[in-house]
Amino acid sequence: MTAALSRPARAIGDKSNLEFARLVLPGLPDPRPSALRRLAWEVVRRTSIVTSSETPELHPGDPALFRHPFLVLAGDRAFNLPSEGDLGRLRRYLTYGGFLLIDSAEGRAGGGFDDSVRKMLAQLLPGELPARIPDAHVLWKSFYVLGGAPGRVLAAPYVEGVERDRRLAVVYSQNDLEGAWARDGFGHWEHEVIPGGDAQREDAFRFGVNLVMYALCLDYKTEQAHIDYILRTRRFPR
Amino acid sequence: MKALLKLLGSGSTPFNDWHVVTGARLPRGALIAMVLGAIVALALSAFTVIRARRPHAAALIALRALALAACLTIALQPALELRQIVRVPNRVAVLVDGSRSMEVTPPEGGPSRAGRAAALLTGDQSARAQWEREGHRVDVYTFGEGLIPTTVEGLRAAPAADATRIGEALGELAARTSGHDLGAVVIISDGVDTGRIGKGPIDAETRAAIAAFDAPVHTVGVGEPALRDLSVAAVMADEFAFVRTPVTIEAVVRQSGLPDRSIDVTLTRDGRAVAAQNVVLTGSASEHKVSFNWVPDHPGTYVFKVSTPVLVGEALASNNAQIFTVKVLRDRVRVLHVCGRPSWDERFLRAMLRRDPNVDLVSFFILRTETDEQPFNRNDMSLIPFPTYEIFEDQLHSFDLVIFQNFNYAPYGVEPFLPGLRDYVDQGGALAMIGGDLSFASGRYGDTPLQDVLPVELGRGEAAYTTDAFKPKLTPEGRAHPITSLLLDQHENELRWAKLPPLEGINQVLRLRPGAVPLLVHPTLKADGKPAPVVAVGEPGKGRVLALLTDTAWHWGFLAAGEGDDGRAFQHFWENAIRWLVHDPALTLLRVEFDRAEYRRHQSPAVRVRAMHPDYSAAPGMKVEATVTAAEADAAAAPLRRFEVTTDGEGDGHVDVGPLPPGAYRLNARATLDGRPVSESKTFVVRAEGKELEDVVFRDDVLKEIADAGGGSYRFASLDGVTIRDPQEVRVGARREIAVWSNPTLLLLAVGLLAVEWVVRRRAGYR
Repeated sequence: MTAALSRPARAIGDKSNLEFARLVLPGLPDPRPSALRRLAWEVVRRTSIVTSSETPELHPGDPALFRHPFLVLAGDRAFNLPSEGDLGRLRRYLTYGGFLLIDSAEGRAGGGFDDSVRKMLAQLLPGELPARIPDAHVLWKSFYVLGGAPGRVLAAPYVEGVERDRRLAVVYSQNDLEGAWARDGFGHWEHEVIPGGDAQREDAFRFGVNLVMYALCLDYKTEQAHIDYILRTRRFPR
Repeated sequence: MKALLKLLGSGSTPFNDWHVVTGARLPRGALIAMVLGAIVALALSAFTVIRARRPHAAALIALRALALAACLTIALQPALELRQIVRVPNRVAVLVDGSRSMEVTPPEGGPSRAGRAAALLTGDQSARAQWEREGHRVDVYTFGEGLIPTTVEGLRAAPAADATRIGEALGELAARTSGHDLGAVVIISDGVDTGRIGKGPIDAETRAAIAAFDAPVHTVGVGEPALRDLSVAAVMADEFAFVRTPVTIEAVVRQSGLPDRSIDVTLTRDGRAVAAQNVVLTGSASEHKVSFNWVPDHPGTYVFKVSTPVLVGEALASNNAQIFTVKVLRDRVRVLHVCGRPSWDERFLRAMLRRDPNVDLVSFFILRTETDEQPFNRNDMSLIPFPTYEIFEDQLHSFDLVIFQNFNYAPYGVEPFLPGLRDYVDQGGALAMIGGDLSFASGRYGDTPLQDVLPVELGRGEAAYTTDAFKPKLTPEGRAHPITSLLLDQHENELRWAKLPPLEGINQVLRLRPGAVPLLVHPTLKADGKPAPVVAVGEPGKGRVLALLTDTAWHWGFLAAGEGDDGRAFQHFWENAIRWLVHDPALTLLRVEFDRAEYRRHQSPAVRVRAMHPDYSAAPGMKVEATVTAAEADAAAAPLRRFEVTTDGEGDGHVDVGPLPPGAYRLNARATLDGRPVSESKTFVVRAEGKELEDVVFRDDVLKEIADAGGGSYRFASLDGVTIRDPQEVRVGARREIAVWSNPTLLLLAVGLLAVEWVVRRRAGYR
């Protein structure tokens, strides 16, 4: 929904602001340290959501983990599976409403990171393997109307997800979304986006905004009032 | 014959009846054979004499006949039985219509139909008195829904039956009089049958009842040849409806004898006219169907009335309206969730609402503002304009609950609709306002009509909020309030609240509004010298409002789950809040239940009052005051009935309201449970009539048909010439037999006749 005029960019509780947190696992360095700050900035610029520029790094056992319902796990290599205790805490996090974005920075599908992710998810959410997010899913229209989710590369023409309690609890991209979002302190994009260039980078940001909107509003855009209006005014590309 | 009886009577015994009897102790067959044998013998003898063609044939035959008769008399031993008898009076059953259509008076004035019917039977000159003088016993009944024995004096009471069931009454009479000697059955009625006969023809069951009487059935019509009347003949509406599901209410308006004109048929709901339909009346008699459409927007029991104006010269005014109730049920709680900005507080509330199968959720979130980056192509986004008019004007009353979550009205053109939102609450709607930097005083609601219904006073100053972390405290009211009762046990409930993670920041307010109840307060911050409210509720008008003055209530769920809690406190809080806000009957500690939704005039509404403690266990020994008022009366009106009842061991109390005149009523129950005043109201209707007054025009068709079937006659407003069968039952007081055969003369006569016959035969040349 869109509306006019401005609002103060504050919340009475800081924790009401959207603050991305990075999930830190042993032996898995953060490949794109500036990406989430840039996405947070873009979210504020494009939407009514208030975000925090901080992106704390949290281990699964961190007491502050549940203060950050939006968690991002990114990597460019294989990693060791978290301990059973950490997996249990992450499982509880996802079960009670947490959202986990997993982004592969390997630049290819089926690498070591991908292998580790699948092993971790198999233990984290037994019996609920990642599945390709269908074209009709609300994630593709939670803010922008999108036809795909490219990142720095187009390693996989799809995005996968794991549902929990009728919502996507995990979204997994192998297209290096953060690579497209990352920007240094001098205002330069840190990585070239291929093959689509700036348009592809814009799509990556739009998908990032949709992810945030979905995490906060869930299936809001599937409510009948929205469908009726949109069907009245335009045709969906998908 | 009387002289003979007198002559034969001896002493002082007057005989008034006689019979010929036989003293021969022979079987009936033998007697008949004897008589037949004599006749055959006489016939053969006569044949022989006539064929011989001799003189004195006629004399011979006569002499033989007389001699045979004398012999038969001697053989049969005939006797004359004289009796003194008394005839047992038989019964004349008079059935007088006691239904309400008999209230009708003639257009030119005069007694009602019931009055005229009673007059036919009243006085020494009446037909009834004459029948009694003739030795009949007159049993008077009144009939309507059933057959009731009465007296002529009893007929002076106003007719009160809500039905006219002639066929059923005849059936009941047949059962009552089975084995009795009935002289006649007389029915006096206007013929407006609402039972199984209706407008005829009469049914087989009624015919069987008529045949069982073995007496003539006469009918007498009382009515008016020309009648002016307008009535709401029928109303077709379901007893139950669902919120937001369209309901059609149909009514049939019937007129007779009125000049052509147009009238308004009005639909009234809870005393307020809500719709009217114009109807053009034409012809000497006509029927018109009108329809009203209604979409219930709130659960409850609604009292409706369909009425027409009472026109000059109408026979009956009481059939110009019909009252009925429609009970509206909520299939699901319809919630409008308006949010000024996506946030975690919004997300976890939405997740909870969409999971609840009892919630029908409609959401509108502000996802971007005009200060956000404008896209090159707006069609790239899936956003829609904020449909303020549709939400706050068209659809507002379809919602059971409106949630304003960190929503500031000003930028979105909502301000013109805030008075309507206030009225929606005042009229029974529910509102929850959730905190944030766009809400309460920060949203400048202190300057709006919503201030009238919010439980907190906001003032008109700048936004004021804090960001500190704190653990809210339960107030004494909050310890027992259904919203903050996460656990039934108060002590455990307090511990539960104490263990929840802290909140961060509250919207500050000036003070609580009068009548508002704080449930959770800040441990240190003050508002007007009292602990600053964190959760407060109010009940403005008929509605309910919740103020949650923080945007971090989601900590009670997700954050608590991270600390090992079951994470359900947030969900329980909101489930409780929604049930309380929408007046969920399950949360009512004092419940009122009627044994039926509608009553007839003579029925006494039976009410069960149930009192419960806050943990919903039975509350025995509680004094409950119950009053009955007219449904349309205001709160200050004097009650029509007042009761006081003490609940039994099951927490139940029973009230017998007693019969009430037709109308809509409200029963208000009040009690103090565990120090808290609680109350409950329920509406009920006492209906004036069923079909009885739908059409009161006099009908004689059925009466004539009944008279034909019963072998009687129909007459209009008269009992003259009514035939009554003689009594069949007699009692014998005295008896005397005079034996004819014992007379010696008879024997001499027989011998003499035979001797003469012998002489005549010899002279005629017979051998």
